[in-house]
Amino acid sequence: MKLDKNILIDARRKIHFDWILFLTTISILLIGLISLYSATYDSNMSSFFYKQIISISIGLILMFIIAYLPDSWIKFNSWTVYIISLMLLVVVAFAGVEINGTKGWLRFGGFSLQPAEFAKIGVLLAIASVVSRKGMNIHTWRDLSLVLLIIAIPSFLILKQPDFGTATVIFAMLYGVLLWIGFNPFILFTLISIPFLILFSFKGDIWFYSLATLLSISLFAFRKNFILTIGLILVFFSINFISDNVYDKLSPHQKLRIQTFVEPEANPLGAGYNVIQSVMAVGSGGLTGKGFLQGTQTQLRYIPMQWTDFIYSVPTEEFGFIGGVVVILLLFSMIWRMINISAIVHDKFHSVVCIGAVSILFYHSFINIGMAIGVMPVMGIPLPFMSYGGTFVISNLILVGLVMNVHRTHYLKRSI
Amino acid sequence: MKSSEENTYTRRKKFWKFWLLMILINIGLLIVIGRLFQLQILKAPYYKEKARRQHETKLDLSSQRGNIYDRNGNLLASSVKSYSIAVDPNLLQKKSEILKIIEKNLGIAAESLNRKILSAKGSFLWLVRGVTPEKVKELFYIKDRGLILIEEPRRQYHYGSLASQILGCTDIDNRGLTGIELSYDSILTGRSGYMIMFRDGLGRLRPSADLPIIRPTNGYSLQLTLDIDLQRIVEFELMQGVKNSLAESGTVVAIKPSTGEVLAMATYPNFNPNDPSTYINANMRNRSITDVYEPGSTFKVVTASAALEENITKLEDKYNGFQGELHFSNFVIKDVHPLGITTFREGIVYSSNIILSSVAAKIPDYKFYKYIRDFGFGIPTRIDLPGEVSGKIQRAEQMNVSTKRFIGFGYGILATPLQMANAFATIANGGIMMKPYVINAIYDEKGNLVKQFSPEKIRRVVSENTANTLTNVLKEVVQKGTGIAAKIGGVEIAGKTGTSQQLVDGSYSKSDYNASFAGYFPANNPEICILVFLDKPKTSIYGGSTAAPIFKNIALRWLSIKNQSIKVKNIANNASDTVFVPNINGLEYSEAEKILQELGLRYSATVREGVVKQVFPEPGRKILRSTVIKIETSQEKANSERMPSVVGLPLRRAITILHSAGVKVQVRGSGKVVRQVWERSNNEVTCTLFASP
Repeated sequence: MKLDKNILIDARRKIHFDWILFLTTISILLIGLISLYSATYDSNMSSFFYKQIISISIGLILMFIIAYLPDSWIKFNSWTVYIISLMLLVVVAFAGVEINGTKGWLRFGGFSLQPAEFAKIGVLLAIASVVSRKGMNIHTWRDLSLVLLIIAIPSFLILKQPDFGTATVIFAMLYGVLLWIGFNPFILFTLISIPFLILFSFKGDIWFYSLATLLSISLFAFRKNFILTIGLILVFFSINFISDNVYDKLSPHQKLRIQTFVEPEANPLGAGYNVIQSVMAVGSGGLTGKGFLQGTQTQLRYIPMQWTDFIYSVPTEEFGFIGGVVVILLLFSMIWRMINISAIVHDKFHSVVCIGAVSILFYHSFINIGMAIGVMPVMGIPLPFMSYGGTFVISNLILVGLVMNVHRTHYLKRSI
Repeated sequence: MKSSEENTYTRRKKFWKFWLLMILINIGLLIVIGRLFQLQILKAPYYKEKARRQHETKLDLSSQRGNIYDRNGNLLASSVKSYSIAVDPNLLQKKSEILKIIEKNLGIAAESLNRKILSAKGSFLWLVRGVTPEKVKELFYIKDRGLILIEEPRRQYHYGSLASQILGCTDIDNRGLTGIELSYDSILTGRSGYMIMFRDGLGRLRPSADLPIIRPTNGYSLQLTLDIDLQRIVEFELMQGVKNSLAESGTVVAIKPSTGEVLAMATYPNFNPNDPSTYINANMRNRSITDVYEPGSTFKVVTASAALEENITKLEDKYNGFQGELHFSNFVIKDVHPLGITTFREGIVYSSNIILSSVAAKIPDYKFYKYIRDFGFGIPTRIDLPGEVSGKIQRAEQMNVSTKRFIGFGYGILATPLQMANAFATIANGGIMMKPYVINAIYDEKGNLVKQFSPEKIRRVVSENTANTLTNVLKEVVQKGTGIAAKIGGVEIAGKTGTSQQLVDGSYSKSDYNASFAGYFPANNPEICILVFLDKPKTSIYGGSTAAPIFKNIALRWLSIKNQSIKVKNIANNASDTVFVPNINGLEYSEAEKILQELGLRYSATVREGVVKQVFPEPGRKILRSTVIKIETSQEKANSERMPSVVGLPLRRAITILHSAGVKVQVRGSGKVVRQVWERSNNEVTCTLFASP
């Protein structure tokens, strides 16, 4: 009798399912499909909508499979996944198909695959595996260089494609993981300061010096070695001069992107066009939007390739501020939920996998939405669950599957 | 086994990191939502307006300019389809090919056009404007994004230079420049409409059902009082007369006395409104109303009218002709035909300046002034043509005996030919002055009468009795007097010659004269009153020998045609018995049928619909009128998926829309699109538009 009850409880725990994560995911996917439908409606791109439905179906199946895999299996195969994703990256470097100037796709028949997306998961699993090892100390040179090596190889291959956007995602993920496992906050602070300082150096001297001063004062709050602090402050302020030199060496394509971010209006028909049109679409949406399939900016195709990087301008134009906030809140609820899970689980591997997923999703969402509303530079980073792209949506759903697995395992373990 | 202390420490650390992460991520959330709030709530009106300005385009729908007809319904001026060629120098690829075609068909040197293109700035350059469709036909087949063919209506004057100064002309944008085109510009133009269209991200226009369309109101058509057949006679005879007399210019005005309708009005030299290179200011002036002259002897009818009406003299009263030379004060008045003591009647018949000046001297100042004014001198006739001047007369208080003597035979006053003609028409009309007018009626685009102008009586100037008396005298002028050159057997013509010296640098010239003849017939029931005026004739200075023959020729020829009933005009009737096969290839069957019927040709077809594919004998061949033309048509398949429908739009708009949609357009007919047919060959989409007015 007693035994029976235990089995019953166990069974229930075994099929434990994270409904919050699942429902938020499904909601965003639906809004994404609606937006994609609108962005490709009545043009010869409508096949994108059906392709995306197929990709989402595959992604959801993979998500369920991963959610119910034995957790030991994932841990055990982390390196296998990492190695496979590396191999795919090597293959794409030789046999890849070039789309929009990036050699990042493998094509089998009518099917194409973007290995860089899977590399994100491979790297995440590998890092989680390394940092959760017994006796691991990230502050030793040996372990730190191992972690850096893990990300260095795929990052190099991805940058070669070149896919600057995805490469930055890997660094953003590493940053999140390092923060979570307690890496030296002083170094982390310095690291995050530098990209912001570079960004602001293009915005203009006032912006740069205000931020540099603010960050320098903050440096003292860490109460580190005085000489080191002063040295870093000097580094901060020298960025303004260095960035000018680096800027000159960038490829024209990258220069344009920076220019566009700094001053989109300067080149309204060229590089700044997308941003101007996207901001106009968002702004003209107003509080309640123009209605489904009624967005003039969207329906008159003012935003080129709107279905990929600028998909966020569709719900904001057609459903207004309300639609825009719903999308943001759904994405952030998912992220909040994931942070929560990573905080409650005891297993370090699990915790790190969750926080990696959080970093990837947050980085993607923040940069992409920021791009569509003109507060972030155009970096070629798509919006999770919404932008068109088969491999991308599948890799996002795999991440959700991984977090679901972590959550399920946690409940299972707690009950024993 | 972890100690509980260690456990608490790890938990606290984790707790801090959790909140740190939450704070960082929520800062991101706030940034994004804050920006969204700024864009969508605070700046929404700004962006809404900006987006609207970007995607809404107002397209002007131009109205069709009305036609101008003569009194018998002959079409004088209408708007026909023409093409203008423009290029976008930045996109132009097949430049040499295009320029070669233009050079071949239009005779404009490719070299000069090339220079124009090379030196052009911007993305739009007119090459040629207002070309007939067949001359640009070859350009339709050239696929070049830099070539812009624009269909524009062009004004066509079907009788060339006939009545050119009356009709006037329009500028390249079809705005009236002179003549009736100017004075009735707003009526002819109509009101242009507009439609709002969506412009998409690629700059293509998309029609939308929900957006407002204000349809244009086409211009009204005008029917003139002119008789183009008489006008043709008048212009031909005037030209001959001017050439024969070596005059600088000549003017003829023909008025129907009973109504004031202007039947013909001509000035030679004239210009051709179809050819802007003939637009010379002096030739474009309608001298009948813009130029003044001292009328000379023709004015004697005014003096005589005043004297007879006021009973100052009788026709049979005797006057001294002073044998052709009268001295008074410091002046001398001479006659060409010296007279002794004779009657007032003879004085008029032989145009004695001396006798008329003696009569004029007897008329009280204010009376004389009143009659001059009543005959319409010194005030515009208010004819519905632009540029009329009022002439100049002396007011009663400016007159004295010696000025009256000169005014008596037509010096010291300035009149337009129309004023003079109208003064004669007044006498012809039994003393009642009518207002001269050239617009008979206004019709709307469907042919409904909008306004009918009726004759307008201005005033009775002299009694019917006086008018009849004068007519009898004027009959004698032509019978035996100075106007004998205008005499036609069997027709009673009343008329008066006039010769006056021109004022050159303040003194009367011995070489520059005005010669004129004014008359009307049949004398007892006048149908027409004609004034002929020559400026500086050289072969003879006298109106009797230069102007009167012109009058006679006009009268003769008009008499020969005027009794014919108004015939239905048929272009084919004018041609000989052989005709050319018109090019009707590619036209819709009904259109082709219309053209053949208009030409009075015989034709047969097996299938009476579709597009004309082949014609036998082939177009351009000379055939006998009786030959039956065989027409073969082809049925084209409709293919209109996802392509803009332009049915119902004016052609010009339709072409603009399709052109910007990247569709090759072929046009059949003109006016509004009634049907569109899609054809797809290789990767090219062609749309054939069928239009009808």
